Amino acid sequence: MSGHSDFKLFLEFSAAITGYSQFQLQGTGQAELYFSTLIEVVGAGVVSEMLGVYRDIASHEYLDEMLKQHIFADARWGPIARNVIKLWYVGTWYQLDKFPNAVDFKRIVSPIAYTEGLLWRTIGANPSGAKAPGYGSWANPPTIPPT
Amino acid sequence: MNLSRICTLVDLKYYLACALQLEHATIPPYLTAMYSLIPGTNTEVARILRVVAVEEMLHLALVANLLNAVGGEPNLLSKDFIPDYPAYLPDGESEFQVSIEAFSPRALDTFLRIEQPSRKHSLVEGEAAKDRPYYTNLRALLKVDPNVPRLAFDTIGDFYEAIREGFKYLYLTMGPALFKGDPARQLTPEYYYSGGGKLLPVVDLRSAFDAIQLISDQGEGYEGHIFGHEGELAHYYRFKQIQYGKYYMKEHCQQGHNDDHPPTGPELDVDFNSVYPIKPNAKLRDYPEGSELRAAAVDFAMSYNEFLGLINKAFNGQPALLMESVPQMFRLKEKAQALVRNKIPGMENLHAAPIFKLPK
Amino acid sequence: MAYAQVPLRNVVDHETASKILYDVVIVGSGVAGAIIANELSRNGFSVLILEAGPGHDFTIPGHEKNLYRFYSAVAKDSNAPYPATPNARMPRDFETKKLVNGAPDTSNSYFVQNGPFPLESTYAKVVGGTTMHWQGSTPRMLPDDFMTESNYGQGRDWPIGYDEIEPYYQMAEREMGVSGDVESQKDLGLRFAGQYVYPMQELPLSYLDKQVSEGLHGAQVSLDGEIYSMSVRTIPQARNGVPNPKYDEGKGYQPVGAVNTHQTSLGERCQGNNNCVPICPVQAKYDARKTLAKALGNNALEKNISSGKRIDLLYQTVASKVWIDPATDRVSRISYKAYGALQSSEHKSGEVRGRIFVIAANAVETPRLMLASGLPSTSGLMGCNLMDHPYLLAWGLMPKPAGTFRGTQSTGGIEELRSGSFRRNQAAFRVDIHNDGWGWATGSPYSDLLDLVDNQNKFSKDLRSGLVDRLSRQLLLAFMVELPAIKSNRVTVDSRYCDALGNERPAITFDLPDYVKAGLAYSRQISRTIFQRLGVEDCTHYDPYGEVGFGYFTFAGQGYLFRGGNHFAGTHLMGHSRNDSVVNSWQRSWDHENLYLVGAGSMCSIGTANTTLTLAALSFRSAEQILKDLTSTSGT
Ligand SMILES: Cc1cc2nc3c(=O)[nH]c(=O)nc-3n(C[C@H](O)[C@H](O)[C@H](O)COP(=O)(O)OP(=O)(O)OC[C@H]3O[C@@H](n4cnc5c(N)ncnc54)[C@H](O)[C@@H]3O)c2cc1C
Ligand code: SF4
Repeated sequence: MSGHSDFKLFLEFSAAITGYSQFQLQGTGQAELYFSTLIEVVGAGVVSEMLGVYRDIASHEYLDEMLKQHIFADARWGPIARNVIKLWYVGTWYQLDKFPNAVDFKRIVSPIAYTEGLLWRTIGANPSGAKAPGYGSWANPPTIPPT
Repeated sequence: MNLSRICTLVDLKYYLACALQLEHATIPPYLTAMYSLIPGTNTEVARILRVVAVEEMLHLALVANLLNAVGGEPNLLSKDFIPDYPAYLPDGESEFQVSIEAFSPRALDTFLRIEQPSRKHSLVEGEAAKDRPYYTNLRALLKVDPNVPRLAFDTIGDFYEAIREGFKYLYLTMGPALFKGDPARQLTPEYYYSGGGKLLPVVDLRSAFDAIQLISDQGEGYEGHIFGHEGELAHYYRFKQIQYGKYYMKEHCQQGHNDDHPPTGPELDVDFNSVYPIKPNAKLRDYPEGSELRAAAVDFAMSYNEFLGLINKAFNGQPALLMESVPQMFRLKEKAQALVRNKIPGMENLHAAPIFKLPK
Repeated sequence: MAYAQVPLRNVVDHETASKILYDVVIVGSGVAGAIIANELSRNGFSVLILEAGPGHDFTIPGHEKNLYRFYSAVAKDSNAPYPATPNARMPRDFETKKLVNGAPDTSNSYFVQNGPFPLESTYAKVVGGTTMHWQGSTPRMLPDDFMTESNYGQGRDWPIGYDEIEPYYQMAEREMGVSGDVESQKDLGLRFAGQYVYPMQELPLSYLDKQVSEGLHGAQVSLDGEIYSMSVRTIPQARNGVPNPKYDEGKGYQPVGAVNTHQTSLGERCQGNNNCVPICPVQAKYDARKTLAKALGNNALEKNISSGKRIDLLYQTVASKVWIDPATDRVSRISYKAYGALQSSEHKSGEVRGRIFVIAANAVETPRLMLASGLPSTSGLMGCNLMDHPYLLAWGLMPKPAGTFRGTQSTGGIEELRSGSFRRNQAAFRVDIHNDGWGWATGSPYSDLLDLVDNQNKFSKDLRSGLVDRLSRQLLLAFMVELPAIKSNRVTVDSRYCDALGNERPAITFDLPDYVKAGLAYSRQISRTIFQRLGVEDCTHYDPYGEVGFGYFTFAGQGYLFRGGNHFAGTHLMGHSRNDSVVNSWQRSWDHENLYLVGAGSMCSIGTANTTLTLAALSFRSAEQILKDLTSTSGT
């Protein structure tokens, strides 16, 4: 998967919408799994098309604005992009369509994906049941990583 | 200075300082092997490595207690305290070296050599040890001053035997005055995070012997037996289990069983392929200047040194700080795991690895 | 720390076990059963334990499997980590539904819910029982709690008092390795013998607790003419912390590590995984397997080897009927159904025999088994007086990030209102400050993420700061309110509703009296006072139509919602005679001399203390009596 031509772009795109760097995203060890999950559910062609839209705006000075206009506000790309954010943050694929099918249903894509969710590190905490911070650490103020 | 026997308090402190270095030297390789495992796979291996690493921390603390007991001052911050991995032999006479590398059959082999049980229990004279296979191993780990003759022992067990003899000898000559250290500097059980053994304060000969016994029991086994004094499985045999892919069964192990008796218990899953292919003994220069990867590697090394700094304080009069080192250790793991999951740009499929010591 | 190593040798099979006359047969491998098993086998008696649930997690890989099952579960309820089987079903909170037009819910949930309030409380069926997913809070009951009928005209008095139980509290605290601070518990009116300290030092308060504590500073409320000032103190809890060197007259305490078969894990001091419910990944939290490991280790005792006395455990073995010898009124045997595959109801039936029988299947399953065996007891009280703690939740946002979602689920609480003269009129309560945010009330943090992404259109850095703002400031107060014994709240069985093995499912009838509703309503009032003091933005809302709307009620014109407390009790309570109770103060059945019903079911009141410490203490006390029975009849 990491050899897939769109993979690099997927990482870049993910970094733009999650607010985490590519190094940090790769550091979760889940990038390939999320990429393949996305392809599995929506299809390689659709992914490629969406990433193409991203590529065209990627170097824009006001990237966030462009993302809103061309991705998040787009009826096709918005729901997918929001799902990618959720994948990264809680390791969960949320059902896209109204009706579930064999690939599109709510699930945690792998046990480790849950433990690598970005949500918890965002608030200086750990996903419950994993990556414990150590005895007594809870008595100190949280260390919330700077964005 | 006589380096195959302890004759003076200075000798003893020197040996103990070496022991600190020795116990620490095994920690980065064990930790790195553990970090390299892909989460969700090799979970039993991960646990075994973790148990051993945590017990090495216990040994480190016990040695600090021994040193503090005789009025010494543990120092984990000296320039050469962290070895330059791979720890090549100074004279290059052996193939054997300790590396920072991914979990692999080779790494496992090294770990087994490190924890190799002592085959004899008497002091080895320096010259006689020359051509023994593991002599060089220990010497490599103990990066002693190249200007003085080297410590020369077959195995770590023999080395501790010499320390034990030293305590005995000095106690005969000095009496209780040997234990002139401030008892408040001792690390007591409540500060130790976990582990099979207990963090024993050292205040007299009895407790000194107990501490030494615990270290060598946990490492290579009680007199080379598979299960130690307290029924605990020795490090050497913990690693053997990984090699065999099988657990030892206490009920099948008799006194006197050793290396010649393979484990008889249930299978233990080992998957040498589910490992991040990290660059062995990576150096900072392997990571592109200005990259986030490099910054992360520097960050790890600095955190590791802070971690040692904290322990050093704990060893020097502030024992309660030992507890704070634990959260730090967890954070180290997070940082290392982010590194090993990132490829090194321009190095085909090699992944980054943690660096424990920054170049000057 | 000591390994809790389980010896694997000589696992008994059903056929062999059914040929043995055991000294004691125990149903249930939860904390109650485990304590009795260990006490008896270590004293040289043979023991057989029947456990309905699966038992593969003595090994670290087994435990890990449970952990990964939890990681993967979309619905992370308290039974999510444990293997489910229709042959020994566990109640799942998400199965609880609002009753339609007040008609009983006999659908597919494990509990048949007669209402008027369906109860969402749960328990586990697995080796180690419900302690596998308990939170581990271990407060003692107050001396006052044992006499609520005499003192306040509410509920029922116990036949024994606090001082009789105190020595057994100490045993239970040793067994479970309780961390806590005796001094701050004494303020509440608890008496401790001599220089007693808990085995381990109190767990540090969380940063959130400290923020609340500072904000509360000196806050007072007046109730029934008395003034109570509120403060934050640590909750005694059964998880490994820092051993107290002063424990046991200076001998200290050796914590018990992880249960495993091959020393692959040491277990840890609590690392703040924030996951005690439903599974502690590092086994810092006490669970009954630690006691079971010791108990099974008694097979290696010299005296047991030479006398041939064994302790055996049969799991996936559901006790289905207790048989009484009509001539003696003694229990003669227990039938079981043992299943192999979890998903197939194929099973083998058999019987086991013992001199003494102990049913320790918990306060729902014990009366269920007795009633299904046609044994409602002379008093007819089997299954009656069902108690649980209704909880009222109140939640809001602290003025600034307070580091929520870290630490054990609760480290600090507010306990001053656990007793007082007001108990004549309204129920008492204790407050837990939750370190795990609003999860219990709202499904946070997932619900917040979805809201920020889907409704507030946040992404990238805005999403990150939005999450910090929304999550790290969360404060949830859980008010645990006492519920006295009321005969009509009860567990029954109905042969129309059975599980896959043909065992009758428990049916729950549950209502809240005004006494308790008044306590719940007052809790809400106190939560407002606290929030006002702290400058907390109150976000509490009770939705009668929401997912947990089944707990909604109105009181004095206001709407409230209560949640289940998982503290089932009272269903075979103890008393003075066979006419007023099911068991005596030793938990021995009045009707059947060689039968003990052990667990929270024997408790006459639960006050404002989570039940497990007390039921563990009672188990030690019963073990003493059973030992006496066995010794006096041995040879006969
Ligand atoms: C989410 C949650 C959190 C909790 N938190 C706390 C807390 O913080 N503090 C506290 O004090 N308490 C708490 N509790 C309650 C506590 O867990 C229980 O009080 C305690 O575990 C009960 O122990 P027990 O041994 O009586 O019963 P259990 O632990 O329920 O054990 C009974 C065992 O018997 C088995 N069994 C049942 N029927 C049969 C049969 N017919 N044949 C064979 N075996 C059978 C079951 O499978 C089970 O293993 C909590 C409970 C839950 C659900
Ligand atoms: S907070 Fe975590 S480590 Fe501590 S007891 Fe709970 S689950 Fe275990």
